[in-house]
Amino acid sequence: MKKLTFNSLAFGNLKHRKKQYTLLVIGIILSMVFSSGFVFFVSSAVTSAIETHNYKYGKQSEIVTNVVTNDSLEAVLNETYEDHGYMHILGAITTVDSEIELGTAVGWLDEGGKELYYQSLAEGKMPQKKNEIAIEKCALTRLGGTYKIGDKITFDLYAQNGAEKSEKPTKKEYTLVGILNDKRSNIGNQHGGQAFELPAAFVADGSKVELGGKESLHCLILSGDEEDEIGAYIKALRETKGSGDGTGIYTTGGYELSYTIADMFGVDAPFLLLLVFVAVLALVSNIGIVNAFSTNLKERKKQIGLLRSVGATRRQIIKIYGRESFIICLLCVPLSLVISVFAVKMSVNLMGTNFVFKPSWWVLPLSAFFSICVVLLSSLIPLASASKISPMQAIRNIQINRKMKKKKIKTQKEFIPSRLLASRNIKLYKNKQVLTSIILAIAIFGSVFGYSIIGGVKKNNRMIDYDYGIEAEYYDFSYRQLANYEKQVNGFSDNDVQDVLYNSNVERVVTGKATNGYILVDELTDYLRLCGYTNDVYQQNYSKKGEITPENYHKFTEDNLENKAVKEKAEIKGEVFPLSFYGVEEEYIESLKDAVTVGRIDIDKINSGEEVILLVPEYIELSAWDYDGATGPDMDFEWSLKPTETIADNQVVLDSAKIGDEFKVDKGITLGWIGTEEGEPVEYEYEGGEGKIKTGEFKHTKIETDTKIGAIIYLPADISNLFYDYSFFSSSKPCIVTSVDGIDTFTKNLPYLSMKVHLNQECNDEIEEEMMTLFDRLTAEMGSPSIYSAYERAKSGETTAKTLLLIITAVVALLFTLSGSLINNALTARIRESKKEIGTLRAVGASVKDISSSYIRQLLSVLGFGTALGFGAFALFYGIYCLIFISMGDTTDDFVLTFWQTIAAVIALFVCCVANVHFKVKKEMKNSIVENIREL
Amino acid sequence: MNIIECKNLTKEYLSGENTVVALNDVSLEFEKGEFCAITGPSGSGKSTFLHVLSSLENSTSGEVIYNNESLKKYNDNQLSILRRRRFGFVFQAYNLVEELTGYENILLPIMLDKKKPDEEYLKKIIDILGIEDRLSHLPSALSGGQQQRIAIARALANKPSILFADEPTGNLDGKSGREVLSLLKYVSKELGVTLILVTHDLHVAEQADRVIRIEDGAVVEDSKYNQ
Repeated sequence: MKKLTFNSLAFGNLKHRKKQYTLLVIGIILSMVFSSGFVFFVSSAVTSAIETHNYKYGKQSEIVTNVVTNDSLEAVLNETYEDHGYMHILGAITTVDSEIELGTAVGWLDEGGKELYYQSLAEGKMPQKKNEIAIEKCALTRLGGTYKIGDKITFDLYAQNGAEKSEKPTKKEYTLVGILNDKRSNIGNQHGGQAFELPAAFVADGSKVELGGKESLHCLILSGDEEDEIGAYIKALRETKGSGDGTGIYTTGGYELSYTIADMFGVDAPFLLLLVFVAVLALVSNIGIVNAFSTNLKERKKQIGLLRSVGATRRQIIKIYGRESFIICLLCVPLSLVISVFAVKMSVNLMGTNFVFKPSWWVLPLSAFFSICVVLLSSLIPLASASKISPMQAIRNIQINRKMKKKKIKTQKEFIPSRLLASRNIKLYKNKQVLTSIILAIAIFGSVFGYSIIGGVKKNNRMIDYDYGIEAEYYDFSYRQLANYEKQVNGFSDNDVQDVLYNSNVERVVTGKATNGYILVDELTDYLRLCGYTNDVYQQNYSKKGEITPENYHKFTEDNLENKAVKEKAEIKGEVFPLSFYGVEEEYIESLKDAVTVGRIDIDKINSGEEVILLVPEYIELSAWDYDGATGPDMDFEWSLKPTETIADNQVVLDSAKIGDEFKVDKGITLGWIGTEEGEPVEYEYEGGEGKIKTGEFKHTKIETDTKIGAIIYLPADISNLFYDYSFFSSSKPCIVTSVDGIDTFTKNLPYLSMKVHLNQECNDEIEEEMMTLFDRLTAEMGSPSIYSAYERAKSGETTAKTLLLIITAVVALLFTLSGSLINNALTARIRESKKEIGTLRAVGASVKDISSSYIRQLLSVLGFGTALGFGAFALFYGIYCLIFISMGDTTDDFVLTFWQTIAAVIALFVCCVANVHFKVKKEMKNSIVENIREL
Repeated sequence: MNIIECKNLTKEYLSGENTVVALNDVSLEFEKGEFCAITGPSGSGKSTFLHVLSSLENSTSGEVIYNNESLKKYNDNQLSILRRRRFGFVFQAYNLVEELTGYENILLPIMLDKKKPDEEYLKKIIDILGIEDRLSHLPSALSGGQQQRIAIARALANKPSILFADEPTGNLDGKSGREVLSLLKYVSKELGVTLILVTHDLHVAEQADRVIRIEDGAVVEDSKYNQ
């Protein structure tokens, strides 16, 4: 006779309940595939994206050019950075007698450099001997084309001499031994005669510069996320005299996790969000495993009772079921891992060939271990508690009585059987049902959240309501120079606008004009002085640390060099307040009415030039910021329309002023406009901070016109309409706003700067082509016009939205499938466990409808609770979100509440579950009542 | 007057590749108010006979006639209504619904029929069965005898015309068994209910008005015709 062991008992149990365990195993495998597959996918995708990035750009985060290495600097590098290495630049090579710009730098990498730069050979080998060379594919094409390994090629070599290169080349013959894959950080970085360059050609390690030149050294560094680390290096470079001429930082795109996610999915999904998704999926999947085990717990309890009644100890029972669970693990874990790897490889193949797949194999044993733990725990924890009860309790299920006593069940004198049975079941199995409801709630929350985000993406893709926006050469009119030089008067003529309007697809064209001008003022108050000059005016004059003091600033603003020169040349009498003039369509003037602080808007007067609208800050503050640049201290200037609450250590508040009596409504003012035919005539020479003017030609037209201020709008103000539709408009700088007709009364035939075109129908490929041809013709003579197409943007936005939609739909479908399977599993298990009860009910006269409706009521309760919880949680989240964002003065455009997909999913889930319950009850009812009662 | 009868009832099961004949051409009639015991050795087919007769199970061939109407014509729903209104069942394993209290179990067939309970009648049954103080308990808190009394009360709750009992004392000790049996006998007489009881206990059978013995699926002895 066969010996009875724990293993044979466990195997016997598995064999005996083959069908039940097959379903259990399938459920567990699916759950494991979901969880381990997703974790494997995400971790592999992240490492793969990093690897892809490294092959494209190199692993280094920054390359600091032209450094001089020394022990002190090395000490800082070793202490501060994860890794660093050097690129030795020996010169530049070009095809014989061709321009140096078409060549490439040549050099070699030390061990640290090689490790960071991720060179990869497409063909051949790396150079080992003198005169051997390996060149990147793209550079090789640039250097003359169709070379093959072993070819001897003669190049012009410009030898390196520190940061510079020799003026004249010498001829040098190399043997091509390797062709390297392109490093994207290098493509386009041809020689160009610049101090900085990355080599696309490599010679043997340790090679020296020809003709006794001096090599240049680029330092490749791998820094962490902390900006301080770069700062530390820069400081060390200065302190150790490691920097020289041409030292600069070239950031080669240190990978960030969000970047890798963008690489993976083509969307800028925050990495944290993805991790949360994965965590939720893994959690839900593992709950699926726990659920799979707990569904046949009641049946197991009876077995435990029987085993205990024949003398099995608790330890023995746990051993028997532990073996059983372990056997299940042995079956499920390898199978699910194989499926996961297969599924992940399939999805990676779908991601395209540019993706370097680097599987994170370490995830698999970890995932296997985790899965085994989950299976063992989910099977043994309920068993351990079940084995504590007495054998008879286990057999007779006395726990129900205890639970019912605890819940103080009151006997009903009259009842609807299906309703009473459903409510009792819900009370008895509340914990399990609450868990299922929570999973459903998570699915619903995730679904509403995800689809609302897609709504936001779609909305933000179409924030602008016009179809095309064309603008002449971009110029930032908020800089408020006094004169409008040649480049600033580029634009479209009336005929151009008519051409667009005559196109059969066009409904209307919104035009706009912009220029620089001035208001003649009696006195230049502190407020006017502060508003009247621009950031770059200061930046031109201060470049050293310690110079940015309020005293220096005041001294400088007393006499602005450029304005002084222009004033003299244009013979402007008195003081001027420079500002921008904007001419916009009447509807935009109307939209400003609500924002008016003082006065009123009269369109007729504005059109006739009788009145203008003045937009000025109520308060203005100028701060200077010191920070460490590559070669020394740099600074930046920042305007603020509100007082700075906390002044940073490296911040100096130079000046602040509040508006006084400078401008009054109905007060007559003189607006001035200067146009020049040539370029900027004023050049500067600086000696010790003192500016000297080199005078040039200044042929100009000056127009001065009297008008009145009709309305004053204090900035900041809600003028988003104007801001969105006129990209040249600055919402924080002083300006005159008038109509298109109005601006013509102050200036000389100013061309239109921009046209916003609204189509009379939905755009399509044909219309797009026709319109673009028209715009190309209109802008053919312009330097660098900008043409915006909402259709084109929507197309690219659609791709993002589609990808996002696909991901969210997949995740939502997964969550709903899981919650559906949990609900169905729980109810199926209940039906299976209740065969006897079904038989009894049938025996005492219950119909299919009575029994089905009892289970459907339970289902409704779980679905209803989960649905209410999911929508409720989202409502709470959205409420808090709105409160926070609205209180911060922000918009809630990131979300466009979208419910229909979720409601459809809940209905589909409900229909599936009802159908499943009905089918399962019907199946039981196909058996005879006696078979039900005998639990056959 | 016959309340229920069966003609040529045959029931066959498939056991692996073999066909087992559980009932072989059984034809019997039962009169109203009769207390009939069906006996026989284990596996003789007596329980199967009771199940088929009471429509808990279908026969392979033959028919059951209740009140001169063949049950063959009845669909599943009609059979459910018949069971809840006209038949009462008492099982060896009591078969009470675990989630319902004693009183709710008793009310179950009435509530399934969407009727108002006849409280006076129910009180009478409860008094006779002596279970008044156990009504608010769940089955798992009751002894076997108490559970069986509740099951009897449930079987009688809808004033059935026939009470089918399958080894009602089989799970009970001698004393409880005797008590349950005398109660069954008493209530069936008191309420005029036909009692068809399956037992292998000859002492139980002795108390019946009529004893039918089944062996190998066939009636081998019927006291009604022997007398």
